[in-house]
Amino acid sequence: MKMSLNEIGGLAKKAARGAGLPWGLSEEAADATRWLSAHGFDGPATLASELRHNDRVAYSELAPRLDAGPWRAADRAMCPLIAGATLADHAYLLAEGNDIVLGRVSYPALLVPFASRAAHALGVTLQMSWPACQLYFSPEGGMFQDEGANPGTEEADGVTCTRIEALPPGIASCRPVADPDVATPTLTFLNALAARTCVPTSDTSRLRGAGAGLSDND
Amino acid sequence: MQNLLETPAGPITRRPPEVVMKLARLGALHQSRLSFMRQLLRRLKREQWQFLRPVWAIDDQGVGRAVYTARGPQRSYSLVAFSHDLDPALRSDRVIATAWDATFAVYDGVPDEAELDRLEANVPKQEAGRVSPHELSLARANRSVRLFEHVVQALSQGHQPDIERIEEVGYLMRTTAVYGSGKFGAADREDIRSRPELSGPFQVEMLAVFLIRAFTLDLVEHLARARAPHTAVALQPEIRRRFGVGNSTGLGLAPFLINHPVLLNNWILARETALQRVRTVRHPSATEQAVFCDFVQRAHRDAQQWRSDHEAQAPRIERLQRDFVSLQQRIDEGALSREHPWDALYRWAEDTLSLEGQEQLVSLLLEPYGDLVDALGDTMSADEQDAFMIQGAMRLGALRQILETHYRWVSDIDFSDKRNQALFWYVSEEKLEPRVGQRFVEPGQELEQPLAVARDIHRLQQALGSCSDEQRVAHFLLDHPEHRHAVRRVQRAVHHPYAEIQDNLIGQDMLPVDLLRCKLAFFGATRFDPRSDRWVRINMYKNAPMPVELQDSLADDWSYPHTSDKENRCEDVA
Repeated sequence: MKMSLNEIGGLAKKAARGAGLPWGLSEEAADATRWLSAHGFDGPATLASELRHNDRVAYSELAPRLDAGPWRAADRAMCPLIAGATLADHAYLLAEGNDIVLGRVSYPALLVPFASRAAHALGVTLQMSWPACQLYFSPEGGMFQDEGANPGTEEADGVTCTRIEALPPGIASCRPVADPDVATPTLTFLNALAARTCVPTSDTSRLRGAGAGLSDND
Repeated sequence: MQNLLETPAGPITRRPPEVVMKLARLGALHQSRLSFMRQLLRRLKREQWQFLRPVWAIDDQGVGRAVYTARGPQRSYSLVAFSHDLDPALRSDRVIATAWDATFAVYDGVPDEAELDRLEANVPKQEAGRVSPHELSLARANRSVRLFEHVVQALSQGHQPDIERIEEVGYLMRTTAVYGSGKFGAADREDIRSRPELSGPFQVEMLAVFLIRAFTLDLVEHLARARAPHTAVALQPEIRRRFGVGNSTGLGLAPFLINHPVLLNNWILARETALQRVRTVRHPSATEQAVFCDFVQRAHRDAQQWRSDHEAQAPRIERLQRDFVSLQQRIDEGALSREHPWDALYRWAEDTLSLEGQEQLVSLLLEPYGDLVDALGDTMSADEQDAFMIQGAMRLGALRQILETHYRWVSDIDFSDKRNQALFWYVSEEKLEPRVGQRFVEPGQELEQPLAVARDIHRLQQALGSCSDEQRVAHFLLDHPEHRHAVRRVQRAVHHPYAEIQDNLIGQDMLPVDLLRCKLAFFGATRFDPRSDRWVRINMYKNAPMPVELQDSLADDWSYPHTSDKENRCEDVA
């Protein structure tokens, strides 16, 4: 089904919340999913895969620990939405010339929008890479990638984010794409998660919750 | 953008957020020059838009389809209307309705037969159908049971409908939703906002309603002719203009202001900037004074026709009418014969008039000053993305400073008192209808929507409690992800002082209608008629020229009827 970016964002936010993320991170999920769809990726499908994988898993198991060495969660691969938000929050480290290195993270494509936002917010060029995938972000937030780079893997172990001086010459840009098409199974799953954020109806709710009784005829 | 918001230097400043952003005041706002309907009509006239009706395929029962096309200098937009035979038992304004008297889409261009057929298969289903990026808006409307039949009957018998009855209701049909911005498959706002004619807020929706108005009037005349072809007459133009389009708004719209803080900030900032500029005027010209006085009288007269049965609104209208008497007296006593009369008048109003009266005066003060005010319309759009990103580098000391400067009002609320947490906002499983519930009485609070801003800020402050000033926000949020939403709002406040409604949105006495009215006033609505504390009826475009009359009328002089019932004429008024 063709969906507008606005719809994709709205659904993503509710689905993320339904899967257990707090509202602030659900907002980030919405922004990231929208970004992916606007740049030719299947944002909803990627989000659905991630949320299915980490449905109702506690934040503490999915969040990075920032002690020495690469960021890692306790046992599982990190959730890319949480890791991505943390990355964006710590982008000042990149501005200061430090690398940010992540250990295992699931569905790393969801990190990409955060890197784009960080590059734009800082006004710098960033490189983000993991095995077999090199991506670059301009100060305008545009995304560029090496030939054959495929961000769409289920997991990456070792994601490095670095500030670089300039984009490599001749690199191909990722042009924004319109008119996202969302597959039915993806939609069904995300809607099911989103439905968890709704309160089941009742007579009291129907009569009093919206304030107009059953009829507003004049 | 910064240049557009320039204000004169001096002691008269914009009203501060702690004055303006109170829910009770926002709930007393009136339409003004900056209202989106008025911005639209000024543009349509300035750019000499043409209006055609390429399709009218409605049968004698009033069922069928019609197309109204607005042709601008670069692009055309068409309202596609489907008129239905609705079983009265199904007529409902609620989100949970599934059938309507009329359904609409705004098409990006002029649709051919194939497109009309596609729309016919989907638009009448509204949320249950899908539209495409060729559609910019989706809407539906129901008839006024009180007035619609009366008008058809009167016209069919060869006479004009009763003015009293028209004024009592004010519209033939009432929209119950006007969707835009990517809803149900329609075009995203990003796709259209670079078009000058659509860059202002809600211009598509305002255009949709403007054309729906024409449709409702054509429909009654058509039905009158069908009923009695030999005796039926058309509406006289002056009477025709008395009909606006009603609108029935409930909680679906209420979260909007909270969820679009940058937009809200920009709307309020534009209005407050306009007010400051006018207050700074030292010696208004005779024309400016005359325009102001004329509008005071016209608005007074309009207030006398404003009806509401609502127990809270009715006394407010009465008080507003008394405020007008006081205001007129003040003017008669020479309030304008001094330097800075507008500033003096405003300060007097702040001490003397009700909130309705004060905000009515604010709107009236802007009327003579199109040259100072109208360009501010260009500052009233927003990209929420601008203020979305968390600034992780900020230290908690700085965050605390922002809280101290912008959120002191939160400390005035005692959240240990249950009354201050009495309500919760939620979305019902039933057609995703937004509702407000009683937290300690009904189930569902664990599914609460993130609209309890003050309480969430309060919780943030508690969590910040013992943290060091030196700690970064990034570190804090890693440990406390549940406060991310609140931190985002707080950081946004620095550059958007009017982004936050400074009241408790979950307190027992919170009135959702105040949220609705604020947004609707910016649309340009009048005749606010609350049906409950969370449902309001309004009128849009009442007394405005019809599309085909724009060329020969004043496009922006219709918000209050003329005191002498004169037709609008083309004059050189400010």
